[in-house]
Amino acid sequence: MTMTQAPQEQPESPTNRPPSMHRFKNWMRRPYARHVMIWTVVIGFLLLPLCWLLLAAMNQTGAPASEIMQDIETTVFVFTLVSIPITAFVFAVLLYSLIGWKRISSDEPPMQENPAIFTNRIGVVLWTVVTSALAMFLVVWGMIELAQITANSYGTISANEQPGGNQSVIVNVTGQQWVWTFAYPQTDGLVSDILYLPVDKPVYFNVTSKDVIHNFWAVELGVKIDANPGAVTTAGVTPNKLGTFNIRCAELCGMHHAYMETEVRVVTQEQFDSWVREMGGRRTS
Amino acid sequence: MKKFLVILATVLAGVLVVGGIGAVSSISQEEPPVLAATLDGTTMDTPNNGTLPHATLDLSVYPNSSDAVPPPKAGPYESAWLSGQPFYHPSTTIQVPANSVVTINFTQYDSGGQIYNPFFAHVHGSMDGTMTWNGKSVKNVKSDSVGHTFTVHQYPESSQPYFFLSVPLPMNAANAKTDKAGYPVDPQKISVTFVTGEAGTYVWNCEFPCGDEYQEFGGPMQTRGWMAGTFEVVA
Repeated sequence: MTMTQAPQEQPESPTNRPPSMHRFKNWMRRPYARHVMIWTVVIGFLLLPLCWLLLAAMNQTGAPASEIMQDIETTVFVFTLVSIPITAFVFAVLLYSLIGWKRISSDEPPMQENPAIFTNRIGVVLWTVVTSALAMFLVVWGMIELAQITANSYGTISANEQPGGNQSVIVNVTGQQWVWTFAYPQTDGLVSDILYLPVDKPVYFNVTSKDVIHNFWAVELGVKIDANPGAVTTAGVTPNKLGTFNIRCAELCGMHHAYMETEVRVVTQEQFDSWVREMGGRRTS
Repeated sequence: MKKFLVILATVLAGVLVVGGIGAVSSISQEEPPVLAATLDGTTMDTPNNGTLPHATLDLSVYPNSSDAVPPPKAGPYESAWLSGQPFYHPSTTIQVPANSVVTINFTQYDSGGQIYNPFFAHVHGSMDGTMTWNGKSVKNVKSDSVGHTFTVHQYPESSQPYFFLSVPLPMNAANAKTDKAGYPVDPQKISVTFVTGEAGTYVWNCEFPCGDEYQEFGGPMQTRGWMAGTFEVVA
């Protein structure tokens, strides 16, 4: 790439400086400013597929099966989308700095820098307002989504104190190298290696571990919480889709950590009741 | 020329170092030899899969190695490190035929105690939900009398069928009469029969804390060849 050297500007005295907007427009008319803007747009469009690639990666085991997971995916999509202009601009400046200001040959001196844009009110205000607005948008969005997910997860209140009574399902989840077991305290001692849940019913998980720290991750349900030995952590979700989904351990926990997985089968209420009877359990509350 | 020789020597030294590390790593992580179930020429009726061929496999559990029972062959480093620890014998790399009825006969020589998770004191995944313990059909053993478990579970491969099997192996009493090697002369005999589906690769391990270190989940519990291994269903 060959560069045409921008005309050198004379230093400005504080008394005869042109207005900020005028200087800002002049600065934007310089070749390198235009190039960086064009590169920003091009790189931004090239990065755009990232939004969908991330979603595809998150959905590789299946589409969301709860409102929580849907919220998480929407947040990832929006955050990626909002970060693309900033990322594109940073990469455009970086690439232009590497390519545009390179030394043409060893015999020629390096290009002189164009005069920087100093104390330009428009530039400073524009940069500050745009970045602050983007950051504030992410903060507000994050707070709203966090409140929404916390509400859908029933917060950190003990499952026994949650409202819902018989309308909800309580599951005691136990992690142990390298198997998950699921006890249903509302039944007569039913324990299973596969998690069965009725669709559209709130579920409360009491999660613990018998040995080391595990992490109970119901992937498509959007539930991910540590299983600590000697302590009980709680989470909740309302599955809204029938099907078989994945449960994994998300905390490195030993030799067979990668094999510490099982299934969650979301079924109709009738199928759930039938399974409880078949397993010899009897709903007691 | 001298420069070339220096470069050559450096490259050769690098190759030797990397190759040496790889060789030592490979030897120390060698999988135990395959132990395959053998079809005995008979068939068995199953509740949901009709009549299937029957295969058998024998496994033992020892509290430690002896002259009569050598330690697992799973790498010199592990053999030295885990000396005196319990292990399954003769191998922990197990193959069973697909779409068959398989019976595993266990001989359990170790002591035991309280299992942390009572779920594993019950039989799961066998053909009729039971196992045979010293000639009697049972669904579980007391949770404070478990020696070991044989628990097969899922491998992270969604294309294969889900498979879960867990068998509690009752303990021998602390005052049981022993032979010269220190093994009970009248060990616990357990048999479990289950149905296999399509081919798949799984892992198995003991769920009774019988190792060392934290909560007794270390050492042999974390080592293939001792209390863990692979379980392959082959077509």
